[in-house]
Amino acid sequence: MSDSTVPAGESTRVGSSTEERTAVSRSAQAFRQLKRNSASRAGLYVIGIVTLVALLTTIDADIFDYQFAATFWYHPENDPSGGEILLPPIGIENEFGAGNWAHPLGTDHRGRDILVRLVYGTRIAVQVGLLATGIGMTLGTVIGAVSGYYGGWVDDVLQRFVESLYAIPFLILVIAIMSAFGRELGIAIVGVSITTIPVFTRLIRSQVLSVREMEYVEAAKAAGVRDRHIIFRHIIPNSLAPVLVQSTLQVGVNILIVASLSFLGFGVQPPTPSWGQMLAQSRQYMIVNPWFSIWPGIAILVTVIGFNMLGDGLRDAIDPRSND
Amino acid sequence: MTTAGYIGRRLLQIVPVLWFVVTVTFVLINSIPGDPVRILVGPSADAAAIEAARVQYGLDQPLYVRYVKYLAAIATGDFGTSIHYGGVPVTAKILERLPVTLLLLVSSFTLAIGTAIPLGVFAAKNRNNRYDHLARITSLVGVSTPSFWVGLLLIIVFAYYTNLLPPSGLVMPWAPPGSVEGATSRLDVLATSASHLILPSITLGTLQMAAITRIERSSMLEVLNKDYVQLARAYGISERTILRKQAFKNAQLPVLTVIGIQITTALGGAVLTETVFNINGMGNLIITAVRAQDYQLIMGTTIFFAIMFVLGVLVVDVLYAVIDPRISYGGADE
Amino acid sequence: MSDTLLTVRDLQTHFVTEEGTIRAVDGISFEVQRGEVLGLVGESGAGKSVAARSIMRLIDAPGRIVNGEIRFKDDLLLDVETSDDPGAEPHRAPEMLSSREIRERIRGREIAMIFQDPTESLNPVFTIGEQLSEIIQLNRNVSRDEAAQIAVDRLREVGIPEAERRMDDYPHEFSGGMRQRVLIAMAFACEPSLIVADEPTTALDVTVEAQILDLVKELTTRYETSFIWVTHDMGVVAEICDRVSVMYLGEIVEQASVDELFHETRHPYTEALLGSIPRPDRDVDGLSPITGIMPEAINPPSGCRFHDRCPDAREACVRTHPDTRLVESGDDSSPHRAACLKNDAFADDGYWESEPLDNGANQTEHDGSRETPTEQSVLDDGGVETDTDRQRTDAEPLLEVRGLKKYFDATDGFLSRLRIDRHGGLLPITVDREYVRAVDGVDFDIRRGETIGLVGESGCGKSTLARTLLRLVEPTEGDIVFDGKNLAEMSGEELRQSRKRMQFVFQDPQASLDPRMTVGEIVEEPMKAHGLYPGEQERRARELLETVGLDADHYNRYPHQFSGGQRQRVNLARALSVDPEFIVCDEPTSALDASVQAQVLNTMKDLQDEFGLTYLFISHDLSVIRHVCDRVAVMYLGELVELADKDDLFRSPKHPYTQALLSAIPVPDPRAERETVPLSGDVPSPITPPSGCRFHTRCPKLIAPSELALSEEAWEDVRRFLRAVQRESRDAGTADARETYFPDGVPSGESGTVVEEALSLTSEGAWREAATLLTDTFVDPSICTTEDPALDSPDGLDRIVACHRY
Repeated sequence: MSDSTVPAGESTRVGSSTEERTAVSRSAQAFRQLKRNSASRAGLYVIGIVTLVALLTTIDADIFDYQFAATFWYHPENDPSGGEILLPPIGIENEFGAGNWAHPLGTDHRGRDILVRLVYGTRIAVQVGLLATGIGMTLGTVIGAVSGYYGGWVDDVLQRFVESLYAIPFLILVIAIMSAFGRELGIAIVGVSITTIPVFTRLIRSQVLSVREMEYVEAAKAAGVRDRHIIFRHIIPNSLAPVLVQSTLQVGVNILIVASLSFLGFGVQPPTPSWGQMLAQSRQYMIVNPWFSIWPGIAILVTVIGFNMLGDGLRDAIDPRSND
Repeated sequence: MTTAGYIGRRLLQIVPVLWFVVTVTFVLINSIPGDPVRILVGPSADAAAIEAARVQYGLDQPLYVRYVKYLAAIATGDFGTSIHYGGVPVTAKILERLPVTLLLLVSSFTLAIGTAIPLGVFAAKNRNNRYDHLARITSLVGVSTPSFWVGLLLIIVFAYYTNLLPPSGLVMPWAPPGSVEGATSRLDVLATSASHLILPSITLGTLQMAAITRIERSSMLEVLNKDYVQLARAYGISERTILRKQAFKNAQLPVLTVIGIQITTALGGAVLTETVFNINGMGNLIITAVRAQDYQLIMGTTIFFAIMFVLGVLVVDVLYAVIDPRISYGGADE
Repeated sequence: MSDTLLTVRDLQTHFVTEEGTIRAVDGISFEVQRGEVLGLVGESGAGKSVAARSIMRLIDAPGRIVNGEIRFKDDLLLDVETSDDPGAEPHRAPEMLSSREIRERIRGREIAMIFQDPTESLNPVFTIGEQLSEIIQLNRNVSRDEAAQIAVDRLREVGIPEAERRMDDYPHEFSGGMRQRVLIAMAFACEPSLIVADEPTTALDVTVEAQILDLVKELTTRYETSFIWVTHDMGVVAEICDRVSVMYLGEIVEQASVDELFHETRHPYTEALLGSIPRPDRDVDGLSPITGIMPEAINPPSGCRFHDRCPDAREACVRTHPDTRLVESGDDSSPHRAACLKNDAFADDGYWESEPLDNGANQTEHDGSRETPTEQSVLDDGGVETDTDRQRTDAEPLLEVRGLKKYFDATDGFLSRLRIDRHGGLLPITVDREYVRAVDGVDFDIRRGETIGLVGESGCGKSTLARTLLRLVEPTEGDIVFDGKNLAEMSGEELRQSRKRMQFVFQDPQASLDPRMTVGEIVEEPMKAHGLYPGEQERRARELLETVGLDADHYNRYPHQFSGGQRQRVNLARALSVDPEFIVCDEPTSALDASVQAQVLNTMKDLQDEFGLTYLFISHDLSVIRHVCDRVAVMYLGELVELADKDDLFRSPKHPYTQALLSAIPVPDPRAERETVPLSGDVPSPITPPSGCRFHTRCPKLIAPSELALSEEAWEDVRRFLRAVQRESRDAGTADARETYFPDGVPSGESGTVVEEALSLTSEGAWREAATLLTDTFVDPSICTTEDPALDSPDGLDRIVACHRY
């Protein structure tokens, strides 16, 4: 209804009648919008913290004190009979003992500190999420842009290929790939990237197709601007906004997929700590120490929510219609 | 064009996609580094045994010959035999497991759609008040939660702590009463089956439910701003009728698209859910096949997963055409 | 005033946004008499739509009616008062109808509504029948079957052929004009006393608009329904309204009977608005645009809200906010009110005593003398042909178009997907390719220095033709010779090089500017592409911005910071940057308000004089074409039907289509007499265009088949009857039909037998059969159906026209 107050085509004019205006680009506006949205701010904080933690773990022993590091791997000193295994978090007691400050979140079936393993699991999650999304996004964007711009048989062949990749449910596809090439983390990343390709190919292709028809592209063509210049100055920059949104959301999705793979026994192999694998291991001990199952899930949930909130915020900032 | 004609066309379009799927799977499985025969016969076999196996599985022929033979075979429904299951035809094994997974999928989608649509409409109706916020937060958490973790939590709460529902396995509702523990009548079987189905369905359905709720809400909000809804208001049609009729039908179009996308997620989710609850369906089958490096079985299950997906999308597309008259009649006007 | 149907007092509707409160409607009062059509006029942003919707309390958050009283018959639709405290809740009078009462008693039953866009107003997933029946059933307390019957009757009444069958069709199976007819049927079906119509003909072509206006007039008389007609189009106002309220920035500035408003204008805004629109019926030499743009309704100017754009503004106008006062006592039912201090009613406010205001608007004559070359007076009918016009006409052609065709593949959707499947190699499916013949064999020349207009209704192929001329889309066939070189045969790089000589200005000023580039970058881009003005590109860009009437400092701004008119100026600056000779303008002003359109048109004319440009000017608006062009080409369904000098064309159009088109434009003068040439039906599909003359299916001057040997009068009767049968006019099915349509008796011979047969068919309600029979006998053998008329210069005619009559 508010549409009727502002004429079509003039809607962006709101507030611009005052003569004192500095050059404000669309992206700056979008960014301001983003900052105003509390959910996306929260998302940014979560992602910031998670990334920071992941970065800190790479500096290893120097930052994290020896005790954490010592319990990082399975140590023979942590004799299961010593009662250090499957401890609950602080304030809770189970048949193996009471939670204590040495292991604030408790210990796992081998007596390793859950908090430390969670912290180290962050690295894998963030690394895999970003890497797989990055590779998939790059390949998908290139394929989609080529497909959309050239059209014709190139488009046909690429689209058929992408469509059939899409027709195999992505978890199944990664599993099939890993059964062929091995169950290591690297293959998992490649596999997840491949399943990510169709998402971006479809997105960027439809974007390119619609941007290609925009009048400003036609205007550039009519002005005699070279094709190459049109692609790089007009088509690509104007097609990328939804890619940005999707890639943020996709990091979350990919973190979930990698966690699922680890849970199924693919991907990260023990003893390297990863959240999905911790969940898999916890299954046998659910009755005695359910906390072992709860913590890694919360870690995944919080991280993925962070990316989702940021992605939703970005989408609202770029296209205000998508929300309210 | 009639709906039947439309379905016919869409079925024809499936053929090349499936052909591509078969090709991709075939290439993938045949690009395994190392000698597949050695894996087949085991590390202790001697050269003669390896050669015999090579001939037996046709692996002495060039790749393209095997590809053509494989295509010809699966066209007749022959997906080879499973080594892990002692030479049982792959097709038979899959057909044995398929109903289990389908039951799980249907029940989880029913649950997801059945709760998501009212929830989404409710949220849209109460836009920006606290119920809406609650619905939005719930669905945000829903799309961010690993489904297998939901399964684990459900097992902890409902199976171990309260002992209300069974933590594992699945009983088919059409199983003969004699084969089900403690069941004497059809009714008992159904009850047992339902109690087994509840937790896995919630596990598998959570993500779908959250995703559908979100799209239902935003799609409903968009439709409620359309001119034809304004017109309906201007002619005195009540808000209730608008929500139930005028706006509702239109709002389901984007929802259907999302449901189509969710099918692929759900098929992956079925693998996880079956693992968490130890259900012997297609998901468990493919995991077993991969662990045992049973290649014919891996290929067969992969292709069947693709078939399930493609058919699922077909159902969605047909529904779309049923709701949107612009599609089923050719859509050339707009 | 016992006959007052609706009274609105001091209505205020505000929208609370983050930027501030938009006072969309800010204290308006008016009344609607029984049976009258009240026009609510204004430019976009004036608040007229919000006002219309406020009457039915159809305002959604963040909008809110904060004040006002609306009385309809004996009901109090609204009585709200809000104190000035920020955040105060509106106080509602207890007698005011509840939302439930409004919904159940008023909406639909008493007040119905028609929206602007007939495409968006109908629900795409329900049939027309379902939508109509539901609303009729609800508002008239009838059964489902009765409602359906009423719906069919009403559809027939609004001229929808085969109404019964079409009840089961979905909205997308109707054309735009037909959809608007359905909506009108819906409005009248509930038998309301008042219909609020929000720009109901704006989205339609002129010929369709004329049909709809005629239909509404007829129905209004029949049912004595009152209308509130919201529009921006002064022509439509003159055509249909009895009284008019002119809105500016949320306020009513003038209110009068339609005749007084046009001929005894009392407010400078109304005057300016009337002065800024080109006339279809005469030449206007230099439009007088209103300077600037309408300010935001967030912080309206103090005093009179129009003072910063008003040519008559004085100091007093800044100080005093004029209310709407009676300025002339006219007759009792239509008092003339205005809100301008110039009027005697405001004698106490010291307007005449204060100093004239220096606001730029009253300086146009000196400052903008370049912009308005001649004085802004209105010339007498016909205008004077100047020498320059003559010179232009004789000049050599700059562009020659020969046999140009552009076909688009019409097979889309899953059909095309099927075609792709063939590459899969499994399915030997062939698809019958269908083509949209957007441009189908067009020949014409464009002379150096002239402005040639290309006019036609939507879908006639004019935009495609324009794009094909510059090879923005590849021609299917034909030659485009630009200054001796055939563009159609050029290679990519040659073509790119030659683009600096011809430029394009697009319709949508927003979509044609890349939102991510600054205005400076946009204007420089073509120079960079052609390597022109090395090192001076920025200086030149700044210069060009000033040339087109912008500020050189706008260089660093982004497109979204400009208004529509300013953006179109940026487009002009970009086009000029490479010193082109030829500019194609595709509806360059149709997205703009009238006052802004006048600014842009004037600038374009000045630029032509300054740089010796040749324009191809495409528009659906014949008034604009008349104002800017030297010669005019008329297009119908992919073909040119007439090409003539502007004056000849407007003075005496020759092609029946041109005649119909010209007669359909509403003239912004209630005293103007006009006779519409009735056009039946819709434009046929360009995929399967009619045989022979493409216009024959709608032509009012169809030639009689020679073998029937009918007299002119008898043929006239037959044609009238045929049209009535096609439209399913009810009177063609009654016993009197013979009398009504053939007052001089049914023609003799074979034609007579056929007519008799058709009459008996229509009396049985077999419309389709009757129409087929008549078409077979009278239309199909006509030369118009069998032979394609050549586009030629017939003897004794000063123009090119494609019609068998010449």
